[in-house]
Amino acid sequence: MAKRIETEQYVLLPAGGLRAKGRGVSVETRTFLRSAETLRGTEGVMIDAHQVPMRVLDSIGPDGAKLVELPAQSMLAVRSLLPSLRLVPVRYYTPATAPLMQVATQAARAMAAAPTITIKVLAKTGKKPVAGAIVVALTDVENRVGAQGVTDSEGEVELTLGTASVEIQALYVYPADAYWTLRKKNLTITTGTVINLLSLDLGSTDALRFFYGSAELTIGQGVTVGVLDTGIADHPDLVVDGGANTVTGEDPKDFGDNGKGGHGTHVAGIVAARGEAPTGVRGVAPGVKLRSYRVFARNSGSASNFAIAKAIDQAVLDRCDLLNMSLGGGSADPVLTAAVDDARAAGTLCIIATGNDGRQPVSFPAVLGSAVAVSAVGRKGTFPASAAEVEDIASPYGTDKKNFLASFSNIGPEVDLTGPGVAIISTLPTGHAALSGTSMACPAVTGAAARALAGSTALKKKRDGARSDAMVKALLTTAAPLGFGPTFEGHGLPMPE
Amino acid sequence: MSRSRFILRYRGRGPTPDADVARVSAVAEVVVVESTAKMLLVESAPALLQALVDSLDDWVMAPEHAFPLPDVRRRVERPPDVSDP
Repeated sequence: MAKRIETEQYVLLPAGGLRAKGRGVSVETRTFLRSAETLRGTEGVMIDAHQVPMRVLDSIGPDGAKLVELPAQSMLAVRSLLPSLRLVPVRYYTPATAPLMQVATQAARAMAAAPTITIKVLAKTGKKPVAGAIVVALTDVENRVGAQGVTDSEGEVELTLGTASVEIQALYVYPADAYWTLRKKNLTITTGTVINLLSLDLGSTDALRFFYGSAELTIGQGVTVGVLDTGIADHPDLVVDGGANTVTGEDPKDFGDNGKGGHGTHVAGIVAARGEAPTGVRGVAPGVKLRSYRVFARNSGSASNFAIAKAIDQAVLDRCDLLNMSLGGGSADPVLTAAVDDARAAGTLCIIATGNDGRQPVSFPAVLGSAVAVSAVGRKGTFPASAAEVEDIASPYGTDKKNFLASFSNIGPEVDLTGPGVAIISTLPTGHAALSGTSMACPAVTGAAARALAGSTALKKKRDGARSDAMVKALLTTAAPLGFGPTFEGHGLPMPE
Repeated sequence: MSRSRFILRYRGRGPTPDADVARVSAVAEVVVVESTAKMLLVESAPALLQALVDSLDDWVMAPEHAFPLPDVRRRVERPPDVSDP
């Protein structure tokens, strides 16, 4: 008996809008949608001399979106052959139900008078106090019950846990910089308990260096990368060519660090740091022209869609080739969608993190067909066994069993590529730190894209949608699957020469 | 009448048409907070603004909203209940 091939339904549509009309729509897009209109009911479609087992089921007019059916494993091939089109899985919506309110007020009131425990965080070597570390002590991991605080200049933190001695299911320490994170399970803490952290060695082979090695300083030359983030701090490992602050009401020239943890500085270092161990670090493409677009307000952990859209527009005007967007979440909006679409139509690619919600669907705006969506991979052995990142290890594992798809990474059919994003050592305003997230995987892919595009014919094209399509093709041809499957890694890890 | 912030983005060719911007600015209940080559950040009542945008060609509108700084660190969601024996 012949094996039945599982198929899924998708909507095939232009990068922007539902119809291939107007500015920025390539001839290739229009031609394909019109030809597909005549193929309803047939079992296969020829694309670029390749026979694809795709059935056209329905259509919104000759230039319009098509409802198609194809084997899930053919999805990547279609996206690769038709980069100017989006292939969106058909989704069915159900009524949203409101979550139950959590009542914690009574407990909080009682806690105000409860006894506290003061513990101390010290460097394992030298016993120097570690200031500014976030300490999270959970008495009930599943329900996230516990206490947290930040260490002072003596390395001390006061935790209000209700008793003078308490069983902790899991203790996490996240240092501000210079040390590895820590996780300890099932311990009793009392006042005077000392926790030791391992110092960060900038020469360590983290997952970024494992996959991309140490680049020559010229790698990435000719490519301009814009980082839309919290700004980029002055740092000995970084050279920033310029940028803008697009936050309403703030100084447009203040595109340095916004004073809220250095996320953008860390991201920038992954793309383009020019330092060298033991005192510095090296990014994936240190030769790029690096620009900073600050979209997060000063001392704030939030960025408005207006500031982001404005930054995208400005970066396109500044002739950026690649935009790194390690941000996202929430519901889609037409303004930011338009900005990402317009950038793509103007020859600038937005490379966007899929989000860190733990295997949830790809976040907005990474979910957009005009974006390059990046999930996060980790590698066992590239961080200490005592680090908090051990909890990021989860299946699926790759063909090389040391590789894993990070447990926090969002996934879905919109994932285009994956990048190293667990315990990545990079620059911070105060030095260096190992951080994790699709936020870190995204700039790794941006750096790899810069490597792939430096000197390529795609980069020399007129700045329009066809240029963006050519850049995507050039980038995807360098990708190698790690063995997780397309839902987790898209085309895989970009590995340019 | 409550006012919120909205973004208007022009999807047509080139920058925002002067005539469209003038029409938006002329409405007394709409305050233009900031303008760029392609967008207007405004404060307005939503229904009023939606009607205005619907009367203009090639504009889209969205409420201003914020994206949080990504963070994968574990955090406490609630303190222990000390009333437990």
